[in-house]
Amino acid sequence: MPNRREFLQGGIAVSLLPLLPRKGSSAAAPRAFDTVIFDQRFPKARVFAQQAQEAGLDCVAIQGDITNLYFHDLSLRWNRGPTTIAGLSTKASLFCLEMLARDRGMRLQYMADVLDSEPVPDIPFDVGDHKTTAMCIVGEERARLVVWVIAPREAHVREEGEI
Amino acid sequence: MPKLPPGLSSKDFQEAIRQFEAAVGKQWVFTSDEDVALYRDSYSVFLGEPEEIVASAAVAPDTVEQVQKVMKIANTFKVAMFPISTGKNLGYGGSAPNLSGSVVLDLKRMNRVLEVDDKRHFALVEPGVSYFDLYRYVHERGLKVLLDLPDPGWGSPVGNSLDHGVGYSTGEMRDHFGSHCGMEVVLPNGELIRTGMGAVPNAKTWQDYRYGAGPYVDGMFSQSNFGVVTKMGFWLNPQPDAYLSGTVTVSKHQDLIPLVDTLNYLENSGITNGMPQLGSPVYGGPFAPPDPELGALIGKPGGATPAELEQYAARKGRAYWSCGLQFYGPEKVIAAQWEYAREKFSSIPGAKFEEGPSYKFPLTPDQIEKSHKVTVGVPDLSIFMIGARSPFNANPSHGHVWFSPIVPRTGQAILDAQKVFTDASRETGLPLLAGPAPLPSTYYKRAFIFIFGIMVSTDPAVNKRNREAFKRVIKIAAEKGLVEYRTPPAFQDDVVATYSFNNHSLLRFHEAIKDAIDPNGILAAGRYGIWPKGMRAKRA
Repeated sequence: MPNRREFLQGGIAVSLLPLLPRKGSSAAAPRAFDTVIFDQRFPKARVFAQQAQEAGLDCVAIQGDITNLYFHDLSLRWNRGPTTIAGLSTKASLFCLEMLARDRGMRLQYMADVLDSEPVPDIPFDVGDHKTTAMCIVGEERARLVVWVIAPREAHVREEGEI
Repeated sequence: MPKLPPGLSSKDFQEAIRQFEAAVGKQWVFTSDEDVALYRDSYSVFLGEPEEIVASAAVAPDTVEQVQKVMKIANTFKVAMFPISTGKNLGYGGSAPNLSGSVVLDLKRMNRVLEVDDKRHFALVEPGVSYFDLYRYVHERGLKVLLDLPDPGWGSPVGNSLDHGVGYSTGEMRDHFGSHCGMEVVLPNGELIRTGMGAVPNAKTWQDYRYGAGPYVDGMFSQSNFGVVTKMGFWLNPQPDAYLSGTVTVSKHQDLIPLVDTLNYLENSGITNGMPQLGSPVYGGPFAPPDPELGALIGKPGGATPAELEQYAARKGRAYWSCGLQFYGPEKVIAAQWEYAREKFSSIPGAKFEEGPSYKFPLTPDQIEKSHKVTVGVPDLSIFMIGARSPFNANPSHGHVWFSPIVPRTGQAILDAQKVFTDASRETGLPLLAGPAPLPSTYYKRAFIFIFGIMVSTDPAVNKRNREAFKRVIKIAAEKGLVEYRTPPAFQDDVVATYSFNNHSLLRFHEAIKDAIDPNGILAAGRYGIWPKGMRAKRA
C-alpha cells in the first residue's frame, strides 16, 4: 500500500472499498471509518453514501449545515477521543468540520475535488497508517464539492535540538 | 522549517521551546510545519504571498499557572507571543498573529465553564470555552438563562467579547464586552490580577458588580496587548417566557428617518428589547433573482432617484423600507409592547405591520430548526452555508474580510453612509458586497454597524489590489467620520490611524501603557496599532 505522498507522486488510484469492513465480516476493522458524512443534496454524494452503506458503514446525511451533526453527534464522540471520518460534501461543510476537528486532535488527511464531469475519486487513504502529511484548509473556497478524510493527528513530538 | 520569532537566535528559540515544554508538557508545544500551519488565517488577504503573517510555534497551556510560567519564559528570551482563545475570529484575522514569527499562546485547552448562575444570571468561563460548550452546559443542566450569541457560534465568549463582538438578543447583552463582569488577567510579566470585585479575596460579587474601587481597567484588555485574559464573567439574559417578532414596512424613501427615530425611542425606552433588522424590500432582498427593470433603474447614469424607486416599489407591490422587531419577555407583556410599537410606528403614513414567529421558551427542537437560531439562544454554523455551493448556486464565493464602519443611529446617517460607501466603491473599484443600498448588519444598542464583505481571492494580484483599495476606503470613510470598530491585522494600523484626535493622543497613551507594562514588547505586538517601542519606527 503506498502512503499518501507516494500516491500523489505516482498518481496511483486505490479504491475506497478495500479499506472498509464488509457487512457481515467478523474480522476486526482497524481501517474503518467511524462515520461517513454525505451532503444528500448532491447525487454523487448519495451514491457515495450508498456504497459506504453497502460496505457496512454508518452514514450521516447533511444538507450543507453541520451544526446538528457536530453538536448532537461528533462533539460527543470527540469528547471520548479523536475518530476517523470520511465524507463527500461542499468544501464549506468540510471547512467547518475541519476547523472543529483540529481542535480535538484530528487533521484533514485527504481531500480531492469531485468534478461534475468525472467519477468521484477513490480515497487513497490508509487509515491504519497516519504517516501522511495533514492539510488544513486555507481559504474557504466554497465552490468546491470534495471527498475527504479526517483522522487522528499523528502527534509530532519534537526531538531534542529540533525546532 | 518554522520561522523564528523576531530578534531571536535559533539557539535561544530552541531553549525557549524546551522551557515551554517543561512548563506545559511536551505534547502541548507545537513546532512542526504541519501543526503551525493550522494557525494561519484561513481568510488571509495575503493568501499565498510572502507577506502572509504566520506563527513560528504554538504553546497550549491548560491552567493559569502554566500561562504565567509561559509568559515569564517569554520575557526571559523576549519571545513574541500572541494569545488566542479559540481562534475563530474569521474575517478579522482568525488565529494568526499581527507579527510574523510570534508564538501563538493557544488557550483552547482552558475550556472550563466555572459557574453559571441562573438566579443572578451570569457565567464565569475560561477563554477556551466556546459558545457551543456554554450552551451544552446550560442545556444539560436545564438552567434558566438565554445566551446571547454571535453568528457563527463556534467562537468563545472571551475571545468574541475582547474583540467587541455583537450578538442578536437583547440590547444590553448584544454588546458582548459591555455585558462582561469581572476578569482574571495574566500580565505580560506573568503577574496575575483580578479586576473589579475579583480583587477582594472574600467577595461573592465578582460577576455582579463591575467596578470595585478605583480605576476601572477592564477595557484595557480588549482589542489590546496588555494582558492574557484567563477568566471572564458575563451577564446573561434570564430565560424569557416568550419571544415575539414583527415587521414594520413603510413606502417612501424619506420614511427611513422617522422609522429609525421611532425604533430608537422604542429600543432606548426598553419597549422593544430584541435586535432590530432594517431592510429595503424595494430591492427584492439579498437572494432575489435579478429584475431587469430594477437593474436598468439602478444602472443608469447617476443611479435611480428615490422617486423612481418609490414608483417601482409601488408597481411591484413592495415596501421601500422594513424594520424587523423582536421582543423577549412574558407573553402578555411582549404582546402589549408589540401593540405599542405598532401605535408609535403608525405615525408614519402608510406604515404596515406583519406579525412574525412567536415562541414559548423552552422551544421545541422543531421550533429551533425553524427559527434564526441565534435569536433564541442556540449556537449555529449554518451561516457558512450562505452562498456555499448548492444545486442552485454552482459558483459561490471564497473567504472574506470584513469592513465594519460604525454609523450613527439615524435614518439620515444611513442614507449619507450609503452614498459614502457607494461612491468609495466606485472610486476604488473595491466591491463592497452589500447590495445597492447597504444597511446596518450589526446593531449595538446605541450605534449601527455596516458590515461589508471583501472577498479573498486565490489570485495575489486581486488581493493586492483589494488591500490597497480597502486602505483607501478607510481614509475616505474616516473623512466623513465613519470609522471601523474592528478589523483584521492587515488593516489595524490604518484604522487606528483614523482615531487621530489631538495628534493621535489616544494611541500615544496606549503606547505609554504598553511601555510600562510590557517593556520587552513580547505580547501581541502590533495588535490594534500598539507596537512595542522598538517597532514603532517601522510602522511609521
